Amino acid sequence: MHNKVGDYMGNSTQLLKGIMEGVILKIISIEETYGYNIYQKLMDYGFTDFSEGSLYPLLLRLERNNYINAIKRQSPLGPDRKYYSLTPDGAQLLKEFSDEWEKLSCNMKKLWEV
Amino acid sequence: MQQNLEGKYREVYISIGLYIHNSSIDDGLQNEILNDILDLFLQAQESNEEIDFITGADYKTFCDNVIAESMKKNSSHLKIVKFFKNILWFISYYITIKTLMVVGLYFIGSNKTLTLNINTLDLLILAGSIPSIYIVPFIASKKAFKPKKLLSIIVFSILSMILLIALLGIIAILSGPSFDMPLFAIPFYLPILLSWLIYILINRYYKNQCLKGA
Repeated sequence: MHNKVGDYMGNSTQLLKGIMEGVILKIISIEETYGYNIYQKLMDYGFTDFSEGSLYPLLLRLERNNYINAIKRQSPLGPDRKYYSLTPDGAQLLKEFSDEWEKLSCNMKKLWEV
Repeated sequence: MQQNLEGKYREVYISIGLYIHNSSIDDGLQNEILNDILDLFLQAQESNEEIDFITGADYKTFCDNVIAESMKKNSSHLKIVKFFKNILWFISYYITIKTLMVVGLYFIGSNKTLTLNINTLDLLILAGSIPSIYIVPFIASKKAFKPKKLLSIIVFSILSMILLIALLGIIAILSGPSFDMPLFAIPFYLPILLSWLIYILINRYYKNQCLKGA
């Protein structure tokens, strides 16, 4: 099915799709953290439109592709909890994302200031 | 630990477990994923969040996304290997129970030899049970499945197993052979060793294939 013109505009869920990997890598790069804490941080930083149910599959993708590393530690609630940290590959991907984002946001600013 | 989940969290967690177990994901990874989801559920429950916060509106879409991320190569070949692996697991357990009975009866003096007799009844039980053990995961994997119907589906699968065994029994009676008449007799250690050995080999092959696909 083709997207109609304007489907991606004014729809932050669609806009967010491409950048959420970078956002999650950035959150994990700040400090070692666990799944539910990432959910809360996303909300705290205002990513409220990020589609519910999308975070865990994304974490799984990053982990399976060796961008993040998980260490299990005891949790007060029961099962061992995974704490995520960046791998060297993840740090490299985050740097590339950051450079691309800076370039894009700079171009957008320039255009909007015209 | 899942006993600590309540209400909808518990209900959806059980459904996710069934859905994930019926996928082609390697058993080890299945347990890891379910453990991760349990931890997320426990924390969301503790924080009084709605379950949609974790899974979105449809838990099956959530599971499909999880499965897609876990399996880069979701081949039908793996599904077939898993199907046979599960059947062999069931047969191995059945043979183990029957062997234990033979050994037990030998030690209490009811059996004079340590020979395992495979008769028509054994074949009927196996033939009748194997299809029904796939009913629950098969129905649970369907989009229309409702977690509230899980108990009735389990009852349905047990009843269908009994019915199928009875039906096969009637056919066997009409065909002639007696249930007790041994079809073949073998030393008690041979079937248990062979069935578990083949199961272990298939399981190892399956896990290797899963890892190659991951």
